[in-house]
Amino acid sequence: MTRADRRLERHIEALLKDRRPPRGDPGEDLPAMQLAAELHAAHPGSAEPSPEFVDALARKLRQQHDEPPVPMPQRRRFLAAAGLAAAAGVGAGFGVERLREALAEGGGSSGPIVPADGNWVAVAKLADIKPGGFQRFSAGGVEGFVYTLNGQVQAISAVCTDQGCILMADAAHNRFVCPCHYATFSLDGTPHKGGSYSDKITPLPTVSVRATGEDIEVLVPKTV
Amino acid sequence: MGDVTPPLRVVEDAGTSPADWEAVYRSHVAALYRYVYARTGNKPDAEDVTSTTFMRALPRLRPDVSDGEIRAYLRTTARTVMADMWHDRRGVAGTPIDEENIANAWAPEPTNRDVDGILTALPPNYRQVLELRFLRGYSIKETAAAMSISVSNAKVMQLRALRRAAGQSEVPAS
Repeated sequence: MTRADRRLERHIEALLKDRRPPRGDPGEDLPAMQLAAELHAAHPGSAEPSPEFVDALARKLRQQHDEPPVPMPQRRRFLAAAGLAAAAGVGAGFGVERLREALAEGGGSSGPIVPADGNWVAVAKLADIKPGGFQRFSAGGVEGFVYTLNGQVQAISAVCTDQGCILMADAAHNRFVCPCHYATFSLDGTPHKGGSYSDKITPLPTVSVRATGEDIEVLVPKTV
Repeated sequence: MGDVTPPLRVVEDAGTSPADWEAVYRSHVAALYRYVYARTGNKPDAEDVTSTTFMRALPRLRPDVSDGEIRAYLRTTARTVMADMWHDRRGVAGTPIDEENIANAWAPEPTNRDVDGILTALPPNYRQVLELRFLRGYSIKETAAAMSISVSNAKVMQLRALRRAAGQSEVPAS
């Protein structure tokens, strides 16, 4: 059996035992792995949620509903409709490279990500950065978001400083949310304390960002 | 974005009362779970994705939208959650998190494949090995015994059958 064979075999074994498949690049076997998921779902009864899960999630949702965890001073409504692009505010802070200072709040050790040997890498088009929108990027080993904050384009790490999970952008509430323990961060990277995650959680590191022509570039480590 | 995309009637602070959203949750959770399960193929991932999807989507749903709109919005959110998970786990470029993309619940999505049709089109031994393994949940040993072949043959055959059924022509060399 080839390496690819063993990888696909392990993938199938995991699914048939209802476990998470191993990490790794699926390579050319991605279609086979996707079909394996569908076939396994066709197994009678396997694709039904357990009543325990349904009830536990209901409790979690009730808690989220009862205690909106993040008081936001200035909420804006965004309708995903035409006209959003026309909103002003993009581009105000451009033309100059901008290193953001370490966030004063939060008392953590996080600062801006400043690589010893860095590259400016284009990760988005200026035209794609809209108020209330988020672009995820992966470049030079950095996982991040590009978005607007107070009319300026901003880049920030998308890695939760609690346990390293990848954050999700929650545009409706102007925050980042961690899928692991629901830690939340405001758009400037300040963590909101309290919850099932560590109290020692630090702010999200920012990433230097600039615009060159139509591209948004971030300063990230050189990688081979 | 297409010109014909209807505006999404999903807003923040929708002001839904607990009774409203709990009813929405209860009536959609099983269908969304099945949808996610058919793409993740395992329980822990299906539960995680379903949880994250509802945590994100429910506060933004207005009670007066139709069931179809809610379903479409949940599915689109779930696809984004899964894309991010796969991106993280597999090193596969998933859909970037993009608010317009999330919001565009009318984005076309792949339809569920006809699993029966795919199996029927296979040579008999390929079809049998996949049916025994996936639909009946046989172990490799049980599958080999049922087909009167060796365990190592059964292992190799399930891989070939799956790749053929998925439309892959060549056996990957790496």
